[in-house]
This record gives sequence, C-alpha cells and structure tokens, in this order.
Amino acid sequence: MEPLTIGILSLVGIIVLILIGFHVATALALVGFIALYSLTGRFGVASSLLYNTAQGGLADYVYAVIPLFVVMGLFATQAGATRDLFVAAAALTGRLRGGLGVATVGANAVFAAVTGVSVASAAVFTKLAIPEMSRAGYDRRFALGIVGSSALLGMLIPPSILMIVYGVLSEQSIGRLFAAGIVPGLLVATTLSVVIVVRAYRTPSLVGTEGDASRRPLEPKRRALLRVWPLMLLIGLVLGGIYGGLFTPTEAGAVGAAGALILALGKRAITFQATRVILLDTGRTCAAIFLLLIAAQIYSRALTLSGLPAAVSGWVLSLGLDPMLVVLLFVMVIILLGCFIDSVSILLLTMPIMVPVMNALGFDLIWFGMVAIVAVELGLLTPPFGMVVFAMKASLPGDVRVEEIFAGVLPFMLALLAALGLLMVFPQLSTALPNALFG
Amino acid sequence: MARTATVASLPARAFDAFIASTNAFATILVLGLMVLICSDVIARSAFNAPLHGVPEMVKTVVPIMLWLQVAYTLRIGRHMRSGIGLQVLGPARARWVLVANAGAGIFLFGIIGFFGWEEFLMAWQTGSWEGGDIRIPDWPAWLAVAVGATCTAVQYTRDCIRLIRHGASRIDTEGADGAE
Repeated sequence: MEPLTIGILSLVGIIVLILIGFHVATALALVGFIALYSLTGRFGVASSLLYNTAQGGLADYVYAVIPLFVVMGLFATQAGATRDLFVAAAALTGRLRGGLGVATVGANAVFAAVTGVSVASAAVFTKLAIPEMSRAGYDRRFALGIVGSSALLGMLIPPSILMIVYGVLSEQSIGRLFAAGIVPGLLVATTLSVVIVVRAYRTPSLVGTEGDASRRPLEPKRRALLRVWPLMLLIGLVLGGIYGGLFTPTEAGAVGAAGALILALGKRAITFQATRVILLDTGRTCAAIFLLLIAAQIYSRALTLSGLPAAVSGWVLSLGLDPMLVVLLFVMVIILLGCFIDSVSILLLTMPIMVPVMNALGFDLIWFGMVAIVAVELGLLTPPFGMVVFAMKASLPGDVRVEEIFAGVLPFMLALLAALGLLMVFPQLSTALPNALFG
Repeated sequence: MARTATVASLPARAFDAFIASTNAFATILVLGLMVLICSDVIARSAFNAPLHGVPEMVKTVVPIMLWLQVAYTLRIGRHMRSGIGLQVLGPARARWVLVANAGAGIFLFGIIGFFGWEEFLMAWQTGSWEGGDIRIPDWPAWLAVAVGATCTAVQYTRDCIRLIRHGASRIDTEGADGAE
C-alpha cells in the first residue's frame, strides 16, 4: 500500500474508533502502531517505538508543568478562591443591571489565571453563581448560559493545559503562548460581559429585580477586595515570574502550587481528607492527559512517516487558496470535532496536520494556537457532547435538563464566534504581547 | 458458588489495593516535585546556588508518575473517551465495541509491559544511567513502565471478561473527559 494511503486510512480509522467509543489514547496508539507496522513492514520497529515512547515520550522537564498547575488550581479552590473572587466581583459590579452575570465572568477570568482547566470552573461556578442569580430573580436559562460560557475562560487565560499541549505539539514556547493568551482571554471576557449587560437592559425580566429598588445586599467594596489580595498576589507572582523571565513555566507551576497550598493552609481549609481528594483528582487528570500525549506521539510518528502532513501542505499550497480560507476551514473542522471529542484529543488529532500547513502558509504559529484553542473551547459548549454543559448538569438539581443549558448557552456562542472572528482577522491581538515581552 | 466467588475476588481485591496504592504514591510524587522545584528556585534566587540535577530528576519523575497512575485511572473509568457513539449504538453493540477496545488495550499494554520488563532487567543488570549534573539510574523509570503497563493490561483483561460475561454497565458507556 502507498504510504500516503496508509496515512489517510489511519486518520479515518482513528476518527471512527473515537466516535464509536474507544478510549482516545488506545485508538491513537493502536492505529499508530498498525500504521507503523504497515509502513515499515517490521513488527520489531513498531513495537520498539511503542515501548520507547512509553518511557521516553514524557521524559521532559516541561511536562511537569501540567500536574503542578492542576494542583495549584485545586488548592486555590480549596482555599475558597472562587467564592472570594465572586463576592469581590459582585461587590464591584454593584447595582449594574446584569451585574451578577458580569461578576461571574470577572471571577471566572481571574480564577482562570489560577487554574488550567475549564470543566472544573464550570462545576464550581454552577454551585456558586447560579443560586445567587436565582435569588436575584435571573431567568434560569440566562444564568445557565452565563456560567457555561464564562467557564471557557479557564482554558483561554493562562495558565492553560490546552496551551501547554499546543506548545508541545507545535514546538512553540509555552511562556510565549501564556503571554499570547491574555488579550484573547480578556477579549472573550469583555464580549461576554457586553452581551450580558446589553441583554439585561433590553430585556429587564432576564435579570429579575436586579437594578431595581429591592436591592440585593452588597458587601462593602473594600472588604471584598481585601479578601482577594493574597490570591491576586499569587497570580502576579506566577504570571509575572514567567513574563519577567524569572521562572520557567514549570517553576512557576511549582511556586504557584506551593503558594496556593499556603493560602489554603492560612485559611485552615486543608484537612487530610481534602488533601487526599485533591491529590487523587490531580492524579487522574494528569494520567489521562499524559497517556494521551504518549499515544499522540506514536500516531504523530506514523503520520509523519506516511508523508501525509507534507502532502497536505503541498496540496493546500498548490490549490492557491486564500490562506485565510484555509484557516477558516481548519476552524470549522475543529468546531465540528468539538461536537463529539474532548478538547485535548482534538488538538492531538488535528495539530500534526494543521501546524505544518500553517507553517507552510507563513502564519504565526502562536496566533494560530490562540485561534485553534478558542475554536476547541467552543466545542465544550456544542451539543451533543459539550463537556462544560455536562459538568454543569452534574452540579445542578435534577430538574434542569441538558437541553436547557444548551439553549441558554446558544446566544453566548454567537458572541464567542464573533470574538473568534476578531482574533482571526487581527493577529496582533494574540501576537503583540508576546512579541513585546519576549522580542 | 459463593465460596468460589470469595476465593476469586481475593486476588481481585489485592490487585485493586495495589493499583490504588501505586496511584497514591504517584500523587505524593507531585508534592515532591513541587517541593523540589521550589527549593531550587529559592536556592537560586536567594543564595545564588541552584540545586544540582533538578531538571534531570523532574524529567525522570514525570513518566514514573504516569505509569503508576494509568491502571487506576482505567479502573475508575477516567481515561478519555467519547460516550456519544456508545449511547447511539445501544447496550448490545456497545458491549462489543468495548470488548474490542479492551482487546486493543491488552495488546498494546501487553507489548509495552513485556518489553518494559526486558528493558528493566537490562538496565538493572548493566547499571545504566543518564544525566549530566547527577547520575540517575535508568531502571526506576523502566520498572514503572513495566509495572504500570502490566497492571493496565490486567485491568483491560478484567474489563474484557466482565463485558463478555455481563455486558456493558452505565458507567462503561458514559464519556469521560478527564482533563478539561
């Protein structure tokens, strides 16, 4: 069989296996293994690559960043960071109509600078913000939409597991990617806030009594802000340390995790049981991602050997298409996959092909990373498999249906698509900050 | 019959306890990494005396962490998969997809485990090592690969037998995101 045919068949095979319900890592490794065997004709080569990647595929300093940032987010949550942030943000937005919604977005955005994941944020803020919004008389669907869409900020604002995975796949500096994520993250947060306020003013019934005479009690601004300064300090230290060249991302992860642990200890929030749960959570999250990373390396080797990425690049160039059209096409593929597959797996599956094409077309890979990550994140909200939506469902009372959450999120999806469009049209939004910081 | 079940479940319980304990050990390694890297940062910035060999140690520990956790993560159903296809297929067909998935797992992790033990024995006997500032022996990483992959293959085998005998349960057909 032609190597290229093997490459194409393996890509199709992986997608089919994942869609019918194979473990993503098993599908990637199995098809990668079969493809390597077919390409080389030698079982020994394929198996040697399999077990050597199993041991050496993760033997890099940079991978330690993943468990460290996961642990940092979990310790910070244990320290009550999410609640404090929400209270502080709600005090700041005061009596603005839609204020609680904007506060949810704001708290999510700041918490995103502590956590690397989205689904966890969705679960936490579902329990925290939805009851508050119900008390203020918010329309339930509106409240669900706010929490779901703002949870995406977890992966957009650094530190972010997706940026780390993209950085590894595209051989881009993780520090640069972390700097690149700030403006797109703020853009998304602003877009969501604007949509909330505009909708709240146009249809006041969406936010119940908010902004009316019967006001919700507010915590004094100063006291609310005092509660969050240690957390802000930690964020400043971690991100400032990376941007200022003081720490590598891995070191920043360790310092951040230790800082969050100290915060939690300071609040007497660390019990033996809590620590056990946090460590187990970290373990299962990281084991799942690490196994995927190993399996993806095997698949990626097979793809490269088949010549498929190079062939696709050559083919796209020969078509003479408008390069932006190619980006648009890639974005559509990513969003479509997001309906069925989780975000890390989408990156692992698509980037080995897309990154060489983007490189050949002369695009900035940091910029493409941001576009791809926002597109992947949109997938967390799309039916039928939007994972943020399911995480919310799991944290809500039984009478809320998944369909209701999807419906609530829909208007915000349109706003997020608009933000994605802006990121595509104006690459400077993603590249200006890393260029200014790192040259 | 009941006695047979008890006898049969004893090794199963021992196996469960073993993979849970390797998992717990790996999570302690995360805290160890945190302390190690922070000490390096403090030693470097406060005393201008970075600790030797921290990058090498971190590099060695990451794969060990994975392999100590991978079987347990499979046991509790947290490896990433999409549940949508399984739900569309219905329990009867989903059962055979899951059996095929387990078969693939047994094959892949069986190979990794088999060669992992071989590499471990070789590294142990020759005393091979890697590193710059400090020497780190190769055998612990290979031991973790060998033990982790073998346990994962065993866990896939248990899943496979259970699926063939009793069909798929609700947990089997649910998706798992693991990460986000």
